[in-house]
Amino acid sequence: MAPYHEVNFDSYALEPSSYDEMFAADGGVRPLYRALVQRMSELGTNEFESRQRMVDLLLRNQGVTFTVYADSAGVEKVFPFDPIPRLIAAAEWSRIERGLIQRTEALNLFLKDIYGAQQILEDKIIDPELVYGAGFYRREMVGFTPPGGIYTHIVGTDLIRNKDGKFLVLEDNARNPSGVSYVLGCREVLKRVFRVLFEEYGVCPVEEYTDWLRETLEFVAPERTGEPTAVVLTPGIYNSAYFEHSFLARQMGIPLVEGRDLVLEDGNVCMRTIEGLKRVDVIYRRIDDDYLDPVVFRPDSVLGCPGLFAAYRSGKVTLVNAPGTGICDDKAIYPFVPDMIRYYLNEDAILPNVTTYIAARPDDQKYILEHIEDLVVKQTDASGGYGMMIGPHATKEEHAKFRDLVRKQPRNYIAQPTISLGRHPTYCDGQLEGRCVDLRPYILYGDKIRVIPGGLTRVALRKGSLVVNSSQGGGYKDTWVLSSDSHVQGGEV
Amino acid sequence: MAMLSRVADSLFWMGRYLERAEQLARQLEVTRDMLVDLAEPDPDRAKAEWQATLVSLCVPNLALERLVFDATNVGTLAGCVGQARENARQVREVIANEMWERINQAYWGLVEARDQEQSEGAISHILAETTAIAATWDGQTDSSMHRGEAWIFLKLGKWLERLERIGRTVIARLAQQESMQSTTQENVISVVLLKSVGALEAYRKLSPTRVERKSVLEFLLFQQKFPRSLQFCALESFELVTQLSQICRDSDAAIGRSFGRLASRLEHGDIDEVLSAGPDAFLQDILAEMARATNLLQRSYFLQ
Repeated sequence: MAPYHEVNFDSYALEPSSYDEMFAADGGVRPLYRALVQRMSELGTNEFESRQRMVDLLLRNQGVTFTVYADSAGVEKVFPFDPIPRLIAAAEWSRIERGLIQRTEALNLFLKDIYGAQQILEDKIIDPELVYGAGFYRREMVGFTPPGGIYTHIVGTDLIRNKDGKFLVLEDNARNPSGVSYVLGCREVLKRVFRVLFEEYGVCPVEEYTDWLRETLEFVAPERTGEPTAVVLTPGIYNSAYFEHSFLARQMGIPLVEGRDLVLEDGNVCMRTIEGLKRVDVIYRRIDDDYLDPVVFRPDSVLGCPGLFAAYRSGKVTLVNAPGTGICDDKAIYPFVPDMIRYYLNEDAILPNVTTYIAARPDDQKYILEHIEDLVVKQTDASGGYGMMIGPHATKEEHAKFRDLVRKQPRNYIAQPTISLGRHPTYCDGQLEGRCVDLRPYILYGDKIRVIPGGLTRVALRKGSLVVNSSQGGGYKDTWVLSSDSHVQGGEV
Repeated sequence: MAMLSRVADSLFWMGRYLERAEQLARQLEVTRDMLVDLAEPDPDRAKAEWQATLVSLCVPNLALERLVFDATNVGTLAGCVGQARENARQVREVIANEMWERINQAYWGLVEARDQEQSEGAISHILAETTAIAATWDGQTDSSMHRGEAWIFLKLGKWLERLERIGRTVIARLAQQESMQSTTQENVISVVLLKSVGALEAYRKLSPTRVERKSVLEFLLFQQKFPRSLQFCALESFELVTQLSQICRDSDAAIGRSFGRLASRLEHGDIDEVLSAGPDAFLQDILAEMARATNLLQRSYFLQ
C-alpha cells in the first residue's frame, strides 16, 4: 500500500485582496468547512488522488464534454472538474434565492413592458436608445405576449463574491444559459465518491431540476386537449453544448430534435417520425433567435424551421425562452436592473449589482477613459469571456485600443472596477491552491419561480486568472447548499 | 411517442457500426494469429492470407496499426467505433446510459492506445478489449432496453450487418479455396473461416463431421439455431420487420415482402443445390436481396 500523506493545507497561500471561502483572513478554517477539511485530511493524498481519478473517469465515460472551436476543427474536451466541493450555508442561500426570484420577476415585467406598453421608457427610467440599440432587441416581438407573460423560462444568473464575501450579480443570462448538465452530472459522480461527507452535511438535492424543467415546459404549452408534446431543439452534435441538450432531453424523457426534423403543416409545427408527422406544442430551443426561422431572422440559417415564428406568434407553439430575451443579457441594460426592481416591484434589490460605468453616458465615459488601467471593459453584447479587457492585466496598446473603442462605439461598451473574485481551494497538480470562482444558479419560471439549490461553480484554473469560462481554460466544482445550518460545528458559519 | 425518423436512422447505423467493429476486431485477431505461424515458413501464403482478410472485411489496404487506429478512415476499427459513437451521441436520450458509456469506453480506449507506443501486445489487447466491450454492450442492450421501435432498429442494424459480414467473409474464403491443391489446405481455410466469424466452437459441438468445406458452408448458411449463420440473421431481421409493421401500420408492404423473400431463401435452402449452382452466385444473390430490403427500409422509415 502506498504511504499515507496528509492532504496539506499548511502551504496554502491566502491572497489578502480577495475573499477565501474556506479560510478566514487569520488562516483559520471557517466553521462551515471544518468537517470537509477534516475528512480530506483523513483521506490522505493517495486516497484523495485515486478518488479524483475515479471521478475523472466516470465523467469521461458519461461523456460530459464540450467542444472548443479555437482551432479549425472542434476538439472535444472533458470539462475539468475539481472534486473539492464548494459549500454554501442555508441562511446565505435563502437570501440568494429570494434575490434571484425578485430579479427574474422584474426582468420578465421589463420584457413584457418594452415589447408592449413601453411604460418604463416613457417614465424615463431607461434611455430608449439603450433599448432600441441593443443587439438582442427583437422588433418582431412587439405587440405579442407569450403564454402567462413569461419570457425567460430559464435564466442563469452569474454571481460573484466581493472582498467582504458579499454576493453580487455580475450578469444575467436570459437567452440560453448552459451548464446545468454539469451540475447534475458531477453531483451524481461526487455522491458516489464522497458519500459520507455528503450525508454529514445534509446537502440539498439538485436532481429535481429536470422534473421542474419539464413541468415548466408543459405549463406554458398552448391550450389544447391531451398531453402536450415538448421537445428540445438542438443545432446538432457539433454544437459545444450538445452533451447538455441530449442530457436534458433524456432526463425529461422528451425528444431531442434538430431543425431538419421539424416541418410546418397547416400552421402547426410538426416533427417527422417513423409514423408520419406529429404535432409539437413546446420547443425548448437551444439555438439563438437569429437561427430560429429563416423567414423572419437570418435567411441563411438551416438550424431552425421556416415558418416557426409565425406559428409561435399565432399561439400554435410556445418557444422557451421567448425570442428577444437577450436584451436582459446586454451589459448596458444590466446597470438598470435594480431600477427595474424598484419600478415594477417597489422593492430594493436583494442582490446588488457590480458598480458599472456606461460608456454611452458622457460622465461615465470620461471616467472610463481616465481610469481604464484599473477597470474591466466589456463589450455589451458579447459573452463567454470574449470582447473584454482587464485593465490591470492588459498592455498599454490594449488600453489605447479600448479607449479608442469606447470613444467610437460608446453604446457597445461598459466598464466595471476590477473586482477580486472570491477564491476557493482547488486541487492543482497535487497541491491546494486558491482559484477564483463564481456561481451560476439556474432559475426556472413556470407556474412559479424556482431556483435550483446551488448551481454551477466555475473555477478559473489558470493561476491568477479571473476568467472562469469553459472556453477560456475554466473548470468547475460541485456546489453544496446545506439544507440547514444547525449541524455545522459551533452553529455559526 | 412516435420516434423521429432521424433517430431511427442513427439507431440502425449504431447497431451496424458496432457489429462491424466487433467482426473487424475478431477477424484481425484471427488473421494475426495465423500470420504468426506462416510468416517464417511461407511468406507468400502469409501475404495471400492477409489479402483474403482485407477482401472479406471490405477494408482498404492499410497496415494493421492503421486498420486498428486510423479514425480518419471509416472502414477501420477506430473509424467504426467513432461512427457508432457519433450515432449514439445523436440518440443518447433513447438508449440506456450504460450503453452509451460502453461505446464511449471503447472509443477512449482506442484513442489512448493510439497515443501510446504501439507494442505488439497493445494491439492484441485493444482488439480483445473492443470485442469484450461489444459483447457487454450487447448484453446491456438486451437486458435494459424496452422492446419498442428503438430496440428494433438497433437490432435490425446488427443482424443485417452480421448477415453481410458473414456473407462477404464466406465469399472471400471460398474464392481462396478455389486455388487450393489439397483437401488439407482447403480444410485449413475452413477453420480460418469458422474462427473469423466466431463459429468454430459451435461448429465442433453441433456438427457431426470434422471440419470440411461442404459441412462448414452448410453450417454458416443454414444452421437454424446458431446466431452466426445467415439463416439465423435473416429470420431475426424478418421477425423484427414484422414487429415494426405492427407498430407503424402505414408502412410499405414491399419491405415485408423483400425481407420475407430473403428469409425464406435461407430457411428453405439446400446445400447440394447451392453447391451445384455455385455458392458464390447464391451468396451474391442473397447479398443483393439484402441490399434491396435495406434500401426499402431506409426509404420508408428514415428518409421521409
